[in-house]
Amino acid sequence: MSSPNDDSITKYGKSNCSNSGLKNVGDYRRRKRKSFIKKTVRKQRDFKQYFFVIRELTKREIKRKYARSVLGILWSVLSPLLFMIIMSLIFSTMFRKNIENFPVYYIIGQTIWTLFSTATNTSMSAIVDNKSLLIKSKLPKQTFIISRVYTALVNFLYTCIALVAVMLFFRIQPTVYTLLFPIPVVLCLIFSLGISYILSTIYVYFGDVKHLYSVFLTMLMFLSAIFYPLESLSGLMQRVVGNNPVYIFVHCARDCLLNGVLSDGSVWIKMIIWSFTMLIIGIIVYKSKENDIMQRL
Amino acid sequence: MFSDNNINLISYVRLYCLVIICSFMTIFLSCNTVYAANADITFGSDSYTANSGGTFPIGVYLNSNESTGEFVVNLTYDNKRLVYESGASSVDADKGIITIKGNSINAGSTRYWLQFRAVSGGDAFIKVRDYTVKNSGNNSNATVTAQSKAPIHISGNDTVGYDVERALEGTATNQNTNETDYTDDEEVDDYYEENDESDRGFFASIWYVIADFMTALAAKPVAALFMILSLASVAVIVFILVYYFKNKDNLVRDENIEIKSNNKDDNRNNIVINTESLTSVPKVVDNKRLKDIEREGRENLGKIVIRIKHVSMVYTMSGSDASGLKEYIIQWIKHQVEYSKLYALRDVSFNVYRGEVVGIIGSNGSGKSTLLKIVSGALKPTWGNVDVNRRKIQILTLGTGFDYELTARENVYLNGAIIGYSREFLDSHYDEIVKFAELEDFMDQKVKTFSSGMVSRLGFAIATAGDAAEILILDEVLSVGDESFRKKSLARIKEMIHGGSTVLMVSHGMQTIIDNCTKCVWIEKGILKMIDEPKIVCEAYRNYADG
Repeated sequence: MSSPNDDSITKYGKSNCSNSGLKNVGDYRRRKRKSFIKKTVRKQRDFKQYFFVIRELTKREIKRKYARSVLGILWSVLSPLLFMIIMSLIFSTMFRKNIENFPVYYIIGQTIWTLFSTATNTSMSAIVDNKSLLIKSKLPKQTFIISRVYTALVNFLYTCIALVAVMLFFRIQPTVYTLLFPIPVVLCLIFSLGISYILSTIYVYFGDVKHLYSVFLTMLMFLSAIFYPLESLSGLMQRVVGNNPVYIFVHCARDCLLNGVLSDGSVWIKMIIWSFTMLIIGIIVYKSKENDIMQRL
Repeated sequence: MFSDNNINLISYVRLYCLVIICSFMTIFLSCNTVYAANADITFGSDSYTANSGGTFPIGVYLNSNESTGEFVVNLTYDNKRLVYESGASSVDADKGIITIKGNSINAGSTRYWLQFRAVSGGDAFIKVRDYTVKNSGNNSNATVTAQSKAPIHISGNDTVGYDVERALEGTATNQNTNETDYTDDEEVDDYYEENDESDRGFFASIWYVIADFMTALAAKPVAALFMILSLASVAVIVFILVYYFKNKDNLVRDENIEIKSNNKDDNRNNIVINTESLTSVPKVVDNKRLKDIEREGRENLGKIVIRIKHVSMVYTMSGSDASGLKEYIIQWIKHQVEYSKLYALRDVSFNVYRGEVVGIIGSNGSGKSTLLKIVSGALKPTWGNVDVNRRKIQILTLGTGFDYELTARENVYLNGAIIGYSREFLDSHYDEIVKFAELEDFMDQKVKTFSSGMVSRLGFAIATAGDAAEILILDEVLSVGDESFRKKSLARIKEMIHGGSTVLMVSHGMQTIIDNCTKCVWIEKGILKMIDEPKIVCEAYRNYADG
């Protein structure tokens, strides 16, 4: 909301200020301080508003996603559990030697993977879907992309309920490193955000990307060692998978929760490099095209 | 692919870029073909035997396929059982580290004889700890492989005891481990390797990650092909991005361009309008009359709220929107991507004063909505600029931004949030909004069940709920809804105007404009044709439309 004290055009505001301010330096300073406070208050208000919008958008996304289902958001908890049961039935005997707790091993991979794939896949169309809102909104346009990623995070938090339940069921002892679990999650989120920026920008120009990306996601899922141990792969593939960013996040999460060890330094380095490089690239791509996107909508 | 004759220089440049990128990728993938010396460090034999108390030599061979630059090789040995005597460049007997270094390794094999004396029986070892070998002539590292360890079996009385652990403590940097029962040789090896990792340091460990990956790729060409495929898909994406970075330049480079500008930021004087294409719509703004209106506005109403300065808007439409990605790339390489240019606005400038109600008229597609979008900040003009405090703008367009799957209540909050109302504001004004929209019984129903009139009523109610919207932009809003609601909304708008709001409205209803506006702007085919009192402008517009 606007406050009536602001000068409508900054130029005019300035000239007024200097005319009266020159006479009295103290008055000028007081005015300056006042405007500083006003600015900080406004910034705070903006931030609050920003978060309010993201929350409202997220609410909408979740409501829409489960619009016709009876169980609603419970599906976020149930579906990884069901997947876990199926995968465990098939694969746990296969990898009995390598993986001690296959269900836990799988569900950690699955939740992190879902976080990444839903975040990127849904935010790809964030700009196009919200065309009409974009024109109205005075907030930065990337709010819509961020809100989709945030939605994926909220969904992830629900799936964490399933995760915790499974871990309790299999009596996995929590360690100090369990507390580190949010770090790979946050880095994964940053990585997803970077990808989302790029995808949503391209999607404005090429609808093809949606189909291309779904194929790419499938490939990436099989390369993320979600339901098989990395050791079961031969030399080259092991290295390919080992450098796959999603696998690295999954691996680190498993170290934190399942293995109860601190991941290698190289894992942390790789995670940080992947996530922040992707975010920077994403922002550059998006910013360079921002105005062009608005023209096309 | 290149059947057409009209491939010009730029397409060659682009093809060249493609080749360069491809070759970079090939180099990237087959990185072992890069010019560098290959060296390896081996011991004379895989294992040694010796007698306690006796001396024996160990041969360290530095093999290289070509001569190298400086090199340093550090070896560790069991300094409890072995005493180093001679043969190397330097030694640190306390830590058990022998260093061999020199200015170059000649092509072929260079041997260093290291003399040791065994002081105790048992199993000892000698091991390559680390090494750096520079290429000759530059500072890059040569590729080195090393036989990491050779065991030495010493017969005789073991005075040290089976205690590899203690030997390790001497050689390794003090890293304590809880797992004390190493019985397996492999595990000891692992221990060493881990230790090496920790010695490497930050950048070195990154490099090892990359180097490992590279060597693995080079080892299996078939699998590398698979990698190429996946990288190629990344390259496609990179391509598109590179293209769009260049897109802006195309705009100026293009021959068909009608408006030329040397400086995008301050080009007020540089705008040249190709008048030939504009003859159908002559500019009829009477400057003298305009000045009168300006003065009138200034006297009656005060400050300028919106200052539109020489705004021009060019939409660049890519002709290949419909076709797929593949064709787009081909066209891009051939430099044949077609752009049709649409001039939505040409050099429009006028001022809006506080308290004015400005109506904008013009036939469909003449750029009215574009102008509103530019004023509201959703679009940036191609040239020129608009001075306005964007925080105070409230836009109201018909039915946009509603999510039809959600209930009306949820939509109020969603839309309100996006318009810029805070949660507290919405909580306290919710009833007011509902009452104004006359939708008390429908708020928990999905919006998709609403009629278009109901939707627009709700939209209007939300947008005008804020009592302090200083600039209100109305896009075809006042001409909908039933008669009573129209009256009500008009009353609300008038109330806002009375409260000091400035209104910018687009409408096709001449009567609405004449009744409500203090000033009217006529835009035709992107050109500002007239600014005057509503009656005069509407008259002229009617005449134009009829004739």
